Amino acid sequence: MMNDCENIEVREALPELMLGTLPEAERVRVQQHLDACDDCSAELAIIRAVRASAVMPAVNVERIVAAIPPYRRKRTSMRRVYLELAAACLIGAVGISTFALRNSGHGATPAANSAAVVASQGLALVNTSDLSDDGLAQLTRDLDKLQAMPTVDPESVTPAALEDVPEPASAGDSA
Amino acid sequence: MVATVEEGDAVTTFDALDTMVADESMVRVRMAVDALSQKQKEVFMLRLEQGLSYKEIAELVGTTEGAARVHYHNAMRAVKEFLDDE
Repeated sequence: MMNDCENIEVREALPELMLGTLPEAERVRVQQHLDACDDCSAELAIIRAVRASAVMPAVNVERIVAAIPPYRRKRTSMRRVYLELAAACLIGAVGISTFALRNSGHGATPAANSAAVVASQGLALVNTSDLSDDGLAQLTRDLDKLQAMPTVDPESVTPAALEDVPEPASAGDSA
Repeated sequence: MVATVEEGDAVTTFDALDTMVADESMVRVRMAVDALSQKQKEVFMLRLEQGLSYKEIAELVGTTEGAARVHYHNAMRAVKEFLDDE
């Protein structure tokens, strides 16, 4: 029959005695008590057996999880923000430049091309309703000149031939 | 012819018996600990396995230092009674 020794102080020191963490003086004192106390010797034998059996306590996972501090995202430094903004601007600039280069010269509409051709020929597109009588007469004369020009193959036209082209009769002359 | 007992044989036999008894004792102790309540088991093992103080145990299991001490001594008494009844 195992009983509890009344020397609580010694019983409280038994785990530390087993672990070897007792100060030397106290260890000697406890050891002397053990030599004369069967109850404490039996309790020490139980402690030794418990440690040897390696019975582990059930793990309370909920308590462990509750003790873990909540995850907090590390604050982003301003230097990183600036770098990200710079990278975004660089990517945007490259994209816009590439788009502009690919569409230069190819993106013009047919109407715009026609206007360019007409302008290159020295003709102006005018609104005839805004012309005065003199302006209208001048426009008519210009058209007559164009109509009077001979139809030739552009390939056969040489600078010398252009100089030999006779001046067409003016509208005023024909009238 | 005189049979001689080699010293090593005796030692070997003693060691095997001692180990068997020790294993049996550990099995019984393990059964005694398993019969403890959850709180008693936690306090008991933290005290004996880890060598924690009652204050440290109280913080870990969420109780007071005095309650941890009571749980430990109740557990030790329960283990003794379990082993006495075997």
